Amino acid sequence: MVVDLQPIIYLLKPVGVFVFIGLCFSPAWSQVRLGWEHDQAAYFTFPTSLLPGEPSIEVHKKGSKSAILGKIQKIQDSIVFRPALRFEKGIEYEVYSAGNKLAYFKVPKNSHTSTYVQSVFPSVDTLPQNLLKVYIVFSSPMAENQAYDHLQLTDELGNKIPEAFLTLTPELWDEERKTFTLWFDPGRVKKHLLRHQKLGAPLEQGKNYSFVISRQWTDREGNPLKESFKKTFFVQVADTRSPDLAAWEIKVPKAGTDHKLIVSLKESLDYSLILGNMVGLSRDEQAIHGRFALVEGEKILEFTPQKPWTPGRYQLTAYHALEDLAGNNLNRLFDRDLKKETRPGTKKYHTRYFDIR
Amino acid sequence: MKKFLLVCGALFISAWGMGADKSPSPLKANFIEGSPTIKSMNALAFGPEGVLFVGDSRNARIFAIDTQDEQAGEATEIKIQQFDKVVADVLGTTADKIAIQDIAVNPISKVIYFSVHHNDGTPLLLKVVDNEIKTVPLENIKFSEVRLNDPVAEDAKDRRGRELRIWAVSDLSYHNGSVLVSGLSNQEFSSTFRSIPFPFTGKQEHSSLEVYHAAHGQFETFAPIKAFTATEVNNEPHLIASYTCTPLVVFPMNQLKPGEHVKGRTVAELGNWNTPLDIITLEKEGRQYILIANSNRALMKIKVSDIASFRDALTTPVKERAATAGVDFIALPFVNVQQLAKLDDSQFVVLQRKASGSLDLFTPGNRWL
Repeated sequence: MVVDLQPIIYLLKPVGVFVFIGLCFSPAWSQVRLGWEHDQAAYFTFPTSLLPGEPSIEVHKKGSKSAILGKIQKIQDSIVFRPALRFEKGIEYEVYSAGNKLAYFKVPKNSHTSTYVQSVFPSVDTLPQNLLKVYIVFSSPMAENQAYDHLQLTDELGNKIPEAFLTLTPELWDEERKTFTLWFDPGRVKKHLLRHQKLGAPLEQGKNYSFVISRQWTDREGNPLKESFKKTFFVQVADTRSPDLAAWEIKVPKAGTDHKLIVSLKESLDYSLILGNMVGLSRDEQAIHGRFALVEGEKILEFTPQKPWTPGRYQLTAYHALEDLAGNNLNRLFDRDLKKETRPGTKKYHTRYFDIR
Repeated sequence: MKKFLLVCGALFISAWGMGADKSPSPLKANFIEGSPTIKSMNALAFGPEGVLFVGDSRNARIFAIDTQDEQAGEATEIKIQQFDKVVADVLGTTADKIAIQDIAVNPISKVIYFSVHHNDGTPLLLKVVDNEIKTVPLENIKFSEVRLNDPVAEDAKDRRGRELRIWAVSDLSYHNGSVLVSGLSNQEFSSTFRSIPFPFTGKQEHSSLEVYHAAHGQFETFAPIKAFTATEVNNEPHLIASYTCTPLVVFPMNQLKPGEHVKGRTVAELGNWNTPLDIITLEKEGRQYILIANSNRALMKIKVSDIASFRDALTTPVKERAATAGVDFIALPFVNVQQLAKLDDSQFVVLQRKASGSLDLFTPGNRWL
């Protein structure tokens, strides 16, 4: 028999690992508990005395005829229902046995709007016409499968530039889902591909554009961003030269100090330089421990040693895949014209030496 | 006595037979029992003996799972309308919060397996049995795994131990004793393609290949491979790969060796505003075809024999043909196909966003070949 019409009562504060869930249809069913794991409603449990014999229950999302996939287990004196996907915050669920609704509950939603766009790389506001990649860093983990609905490139008048970005599946997120990598459509950036011929490059030299990030992009909790975000930049000539270690200017610290080693890169390099082990410092083939940072519009590479410098000859090494903002790496250009240019380099690592005295 | 010996013999044969059943096949001999920690399921592919390969980008690993689904089955008609809503209902969520990541059909049982990601990043492995959705258990199963190592990034962690570089699996396939994996990274815009011998040995014998294609003979260009299929072209195994920037490129498999700089032959460009999503190889009446699902084009059908005979390699800016170029293709009347998988030699299953907005999973039959 379905007893209904009683108000839902929430007791939201966790009691140990449990929280009381919404209301139940007889006082006995108030013994149902929701179990939390990693801030997620992972299961619910109730004493076996409530359903003697083989437990047979179905859990439905309110209004749905389909039973939720999950496992029912008897653990000592309790019956545990663990859904395949944890119960979702903000959704109401109903528990049935033999066609009778026994209980219903709603997982409370933590509403907040504190997630924001922390930074966008490249951080400079003058960018090459053949810019390839943009990194967006958020303050908290974000939801998946929404990025391309909430990102826009606009012109000076605020009009959307269509099809500017490559819509990738899966989206390129870091492990924490706080840094998103956005590619410009390479079919448009690359010369002589049909897309480039038909549509032209997404960016035109001498014009201003903006990256616009909508507030509607939600974080992992399903809450929208604190505010929308806009970065306006000016487009200059295309970058058609590979980064060159020989041109880097190295400001060498003195021996006995723990001052930073400062390397002027002569151009903004890709943010990924610090994402991976792309540069290294060694002496007599022994790695020097410390921390690299990319600063001042990604034009300066700084290295802070863990220990004071000792005199000697040092080696700064860069992996060949290190790229500039246009995808040109140390060995080859993003677009290599076979009729004009020489063969790509083959060195795996490029090096510069300097002495500390 | 004779009867006793007969009974003993029967018992022995039966025990021996049972023992034989229990001993794992050489392919699964190094599988371990447990619960794999899979953090994402971006790509799925079946190997032999019911082994399902799961490409996990967040873990930078490929898992080989023994589904124990080895009962031979026939391809049956599948039709599930509003598939995303149906899946959301059985997961207790809403369709706007989930995304179907990939679909693979077990070539033995013909059961459709698919992976789903919730917006919060939770991955789930499900299957379609008699037009109903079921879970695929991932606890206390037999599995093995291989790490997609990268010599650059092995110690690329920050102080809190986060993996900073990511390598997303874009497609996965099993061919002739190897798991083939394409991927793209957030660090460099080039194609990373791996061929990993299976069973996984624990040693990381594979290394990445640098594959590139030429645009009209003039520009050497690098880009990530989005989708690929392995098939015989001129009786030699070839990889037919589609790039994120739309060229369709063919590579002889025997040239794909670690450390080699391999240039592919561009045989087509698949059109503006379009990203290839899936490629499969089918066969009908002795003729091989590839089918390509696209983000912004109809499902394309290309004869493999046309690829074999296409020698020009798009050396000059080509004549425009419906904004595409290269080998002839036939556009099948399926637009907005989000997922495409091989059901049997001549049939396929699609996940298609219909004009009505409904995302349907169905088997169109083999009349389209």
